Amino acid sequence: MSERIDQTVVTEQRGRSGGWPTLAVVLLAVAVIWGVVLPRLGEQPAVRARIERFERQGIEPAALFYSDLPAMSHWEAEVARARAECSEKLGESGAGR
Amino acid sequence: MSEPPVDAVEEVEPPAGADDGGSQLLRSEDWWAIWLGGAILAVCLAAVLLSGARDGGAYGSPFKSWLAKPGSWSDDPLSSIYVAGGKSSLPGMLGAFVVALAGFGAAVAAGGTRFTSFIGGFCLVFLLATFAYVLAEQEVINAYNLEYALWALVAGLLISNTIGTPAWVRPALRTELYIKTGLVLLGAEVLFSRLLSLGVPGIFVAWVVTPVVLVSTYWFGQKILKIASPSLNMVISADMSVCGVSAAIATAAACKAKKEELSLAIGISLTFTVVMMVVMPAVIEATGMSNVLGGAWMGGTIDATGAVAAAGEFLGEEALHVAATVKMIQNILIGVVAFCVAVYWVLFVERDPSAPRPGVGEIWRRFPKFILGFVAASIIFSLMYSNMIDGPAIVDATIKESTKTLRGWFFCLAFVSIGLETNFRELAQYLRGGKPLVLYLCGQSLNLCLTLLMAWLMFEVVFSDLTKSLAQ
Repeated sequence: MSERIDQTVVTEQRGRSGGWPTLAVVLLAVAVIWGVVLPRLGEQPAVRARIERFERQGIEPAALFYSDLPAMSHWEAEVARARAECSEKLGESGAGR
Repeated sequence: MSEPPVDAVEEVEPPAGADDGGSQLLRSEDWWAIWLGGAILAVCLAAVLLSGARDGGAYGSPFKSWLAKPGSWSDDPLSSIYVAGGKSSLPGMLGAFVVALAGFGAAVAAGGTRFTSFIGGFCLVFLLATFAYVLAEQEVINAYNLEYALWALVAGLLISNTIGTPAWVRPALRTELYIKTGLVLLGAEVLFSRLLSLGVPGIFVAWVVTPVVLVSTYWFGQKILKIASPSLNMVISADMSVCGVSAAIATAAACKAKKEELSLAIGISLTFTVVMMVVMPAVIEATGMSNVLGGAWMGGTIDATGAVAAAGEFLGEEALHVAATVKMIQNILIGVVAFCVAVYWVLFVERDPSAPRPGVGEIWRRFPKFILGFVAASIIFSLMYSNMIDGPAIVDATIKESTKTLRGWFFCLAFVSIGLETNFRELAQYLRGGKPLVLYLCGQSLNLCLTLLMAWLMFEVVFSDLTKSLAQ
């Protein structure tokens, strides 16, 4: 049980590589990537267009569950409309026969 | 840094044998997850009901501005948290911090850990969770489905594998409590009325193919690949066949998987999700497949919910609508999957083959009780959604404006805790031999074939009229 998710006794951490200097280097890399590289990448026309399309459509690409998608109710309504239309057509063709 | 002895911070959990009902109800993390999750759902629902309908019949939660996560940002990470004179996430983040500290603090105190020894560690875990959220909310990162679970794991791993996790943080590393409480909250989002959103074709693509793929992949992992850990096999099978990270979390808790196994399954799933969300729309376009069929195929196969929507959008509106709806129907399956996995584990996997069939008492003792809270929340909110006057508006306001935010924070805290407890070497040993990767690849290949076949049968052959309506 000690290594399971429901574990309650925390074991001592082993194996540390480099300590504070390594942590500082990684944090510096994070600062450069998130502070400089990604913002520049976000300015590229293709990437910018993709981000703007997602915003316009209410898409949250990192959604974990359907309830995290802001426009889900709208899409569900569109599907319901198509289903209702389909049922209506089938009803009409059935009545016409 | 001088560290107190490990036993100074360990949690006092009643031993498995001492299953005193009253004590378990007050001390076990499973039950506390139910009490906490239930209390949060009840308070948030009551707040929406007491606020009443606004003009136009819309409902809202008074907690909306008091519960928030860092927002999206492009070039200034601070704007994710604080915007001078604008809409700032800071008060909402502080609100989430206070709720989490009070709730989890009470739970650990009931379990025998001093509340004061929990506070310091919890502050650091929450700070790292905030850091993970800020990294995930960068708009380019967000657009490629690199979600907060990944960055929370990375943030924890970074600390534990460089300077080491300080001993004073350990009382706050309550992975199980955070995950299970988050899952009880997630239960309220598993609304069964949504199962019929796409009618029979949706049920066949999402609820017939998915369990077949899940069971086949698990069987393949056990019998052919002979993966040593059944729980690793199950978590990978579920996150690949159902809906990515959320399914991995639910099944990992249901089958008591190791934290490294959950981390590994999520890492594999996110990696392939990024690839599939780019490659699948290109393949669908290149083969001239209809957008409705393509949408259904992606909805049933791409692991992550957000990635499904993003990939669907690439093809067009109808593909987006169908893909997201199929994935939503598949999302609802996680309640059933978690329950069935928990029962299967208690009855067959944990059972000693030489021992007689376990009695009801033994099954109850081993059963992960939080599943009951998860299922109960799902049933209660599903009934309210379908039968109550203004049910959809009330349930939506409760979830979208309060509980969903807390669920996200609790999962984020859990992943930071996993990272802080994990050593890279422990993680690497699971990849030895490449069996988890082979399992994922074989299972996903089966998933791609079966889902395409079923989607073609449903949308192109049996219900082609529906496809025409969806395409208009």
